[in-house]
Amino acid sequence: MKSKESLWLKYLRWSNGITGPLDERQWAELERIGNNCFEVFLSLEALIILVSLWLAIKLENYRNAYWFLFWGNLLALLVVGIYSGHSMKHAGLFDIEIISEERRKVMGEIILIALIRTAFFSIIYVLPLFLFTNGPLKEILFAHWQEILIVAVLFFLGSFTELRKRIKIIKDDD
Amino acid sequence: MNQVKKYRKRQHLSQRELAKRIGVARQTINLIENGKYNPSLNLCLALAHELGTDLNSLFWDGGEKQ
Repeated sequence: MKSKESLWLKYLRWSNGITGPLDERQWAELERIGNNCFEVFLSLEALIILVSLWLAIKLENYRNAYWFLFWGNLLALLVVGIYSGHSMKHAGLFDIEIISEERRKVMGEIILIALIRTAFFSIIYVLPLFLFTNGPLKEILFAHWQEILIVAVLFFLGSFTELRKRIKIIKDDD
Repeated sequence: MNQVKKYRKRQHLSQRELAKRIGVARQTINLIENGKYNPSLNLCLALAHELGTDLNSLFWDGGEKQ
């Protein structure tokens, strides 16, 4: 059943926060959830665009049309995000099942994953500072190091707690 | 209902061990055993192979309507 996973599938897994490899049932679940998300998003988008057009063309209220488009899109993304997260959790795609003897090893692994995530997040956090502030990177980092450190620590703690909650200890004798 | 659980017990395997051997999640084995997931032919073959039996013995219900 172990098939070679393409980079795209790895990316899909990674971007959805799924740590381990998925089997055929789990991929089918992920596909079903993805299809539902697409349909929901498409319907919401159509509605948002129609209302924005109505505001702009019929009422000539361009300011409200713009804001409705902006906030409507954000809301649609939020709805789809909540739906996909909830569905994936319900389908058990996030579960990390272990037996009690593996706890120590898995804790080490999740610390490592949380550290990698924190490193990525820190780069993404620092990037706008670098792009929108004048001066060399060294000076920018030096000026903002406390803020960056606090955000990174908080992100690490959040990421670690989230991963830790996924661990389910099962009995191996079933 | 299929006979996966019966054959697994006969082989003294846990759900976790069987799942590991055929490369699927433990929950998938659990769902198959409880008749809540219909596995693909490839997975059925892998199960039969790992449990040392054939597809008929594992999945054929003898013509009974479920």
